[in-house]
Amino acid sequence: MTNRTPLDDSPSDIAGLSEQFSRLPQFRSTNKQFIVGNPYHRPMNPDALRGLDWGRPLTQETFASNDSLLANRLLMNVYESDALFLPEAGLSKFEGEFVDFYHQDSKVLGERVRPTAENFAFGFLDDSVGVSGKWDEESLRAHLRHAVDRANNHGGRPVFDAILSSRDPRTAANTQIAQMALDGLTEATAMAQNLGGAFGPEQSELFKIFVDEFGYGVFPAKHSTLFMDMCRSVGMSTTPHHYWFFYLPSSIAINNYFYWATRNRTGFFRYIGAMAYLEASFAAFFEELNKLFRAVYGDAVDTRYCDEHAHIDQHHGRMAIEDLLIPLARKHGPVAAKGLLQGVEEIQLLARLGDADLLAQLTWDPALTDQVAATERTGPVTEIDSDTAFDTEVTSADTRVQVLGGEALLYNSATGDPLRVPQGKAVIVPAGRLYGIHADRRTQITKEPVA
Amino acid sequence: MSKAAPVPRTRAEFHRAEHNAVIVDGEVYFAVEREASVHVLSSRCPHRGGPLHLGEMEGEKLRCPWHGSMFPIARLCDRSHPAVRVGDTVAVYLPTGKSEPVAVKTIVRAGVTTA
Repeated sequence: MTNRTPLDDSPSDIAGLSEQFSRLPQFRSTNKQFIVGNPYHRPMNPDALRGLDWGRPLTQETFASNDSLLANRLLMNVYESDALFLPEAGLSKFEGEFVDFYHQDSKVLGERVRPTAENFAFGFLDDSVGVSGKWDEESLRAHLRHAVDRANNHGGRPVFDAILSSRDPRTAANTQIAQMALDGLTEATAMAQNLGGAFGPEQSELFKIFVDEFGYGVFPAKHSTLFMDMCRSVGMSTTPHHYWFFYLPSSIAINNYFYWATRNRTGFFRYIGAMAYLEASFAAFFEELNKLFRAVYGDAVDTRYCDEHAHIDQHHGRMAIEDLLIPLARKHGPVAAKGLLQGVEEIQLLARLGDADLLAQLTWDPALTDQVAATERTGPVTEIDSDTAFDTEVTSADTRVQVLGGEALLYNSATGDPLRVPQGKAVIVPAGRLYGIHADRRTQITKEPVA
Repeated sequence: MSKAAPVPRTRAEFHRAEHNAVIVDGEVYFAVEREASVHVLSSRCPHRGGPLHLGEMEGEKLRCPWHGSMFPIARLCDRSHPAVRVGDTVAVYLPTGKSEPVAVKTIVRAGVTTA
């Protein structure tokens, strides 16, 4: 094995670099809750990033934490500056932003932060998942069969149940769509990162799947176009990252996982394992999602995106396993088998953590929580108004948000109305939940952990 | 992947905090932890069938308690049964027997090693 000199950026250097990165113009703050029509504007919070301890990587327990949100937003911006985004309305209003987003200095800075941020975000997977032993084709197949069978005979989808039984199923279903938009509007971008190079017949097999994702060069049939049509049919935005502030940390992390695995070429086998597992389990998932959306939205929803996946992923599941995963394992030996299995297991683990995060967000309805009288304040008072930068965060503990003067608007979903919290009232935000506060007029609030 | 003729295998699962071995048809398969991986090894010594799970580690080698045969633990782990650990749950594919695999907690003297 070749000796390598580790990168010499220490966690404290990274804190400075990440803050510097987040202060670039394209990552500036905004007082708006949604990013309208601008694919380059992706607000980050430099002050919060400065406080992030990069020396304490995420764990399974902190996968859906505020630290995860901060690190994964940053990573997504690094990754997506390698993909081309052009505004639907044309570049003329966004020329400066286009240059900023893809500027060499920005990319170099992002690249310096990336390895540490990746280790911070995904290092725990090496501890959480271990593959060992001498695998043969039969045991590999048996393991895949078991994993896919378990996914397809899951005994219920608590997230879907929560959407159907929520006070406002439409808003809840929109929340699901907003999380899917992370990938849906840029579908197969990560996959595209491994189309180049030279890796034999498997390269062509991967391309066959990619061609389906891209609708055989027919724009209306491209999966991301079908996703846009679905969004449009239910009144949701089709601009990438319109719902930037409402992505859950776990959703961004899972999307980033595929960028991480494809950006690093040694992650190729891990990527194929994770992708093959998903493709093999997507058909059943999308069939059920289709039924859910019909139940929630009625006939108005355009479910061709779900229909397409419910059909084509029956083929993709087989193709990804029989024409990619197994041949790669046969040809490239233990390193490949280990990587492939690592991917199969990691994506299942991440999906479980992601489902738990989404379920907790969906079942937290601030409107159903009694607003309590504000108590004696002990924390610092923050004054906000309509010009104050909007941001969302994830609470580390149950947090009491008190309104001492004015009126606060509490946002916790991509499309739902905010909860109005008037002067003298308080609302408890449960630990681990994503929320943001806005005010239309001068308002004083405190945020304190519940004792 | 192994090019040897496939051995029919059966999946067994155990929780590593509760169990450290699996028994199939009286054969003991024991767990050895190295770094983040759990390796499941056949206990039967290739020399005369001694119980390797009762052997002692000497440096990076495992000594069979019967006749003192020494085996590099890294080599044993390379040849261990195919297994995946997620958290504390280990799934391993063991040679199929007449009986179902049974996870047990037993004396394993070489259970945890450092690589």
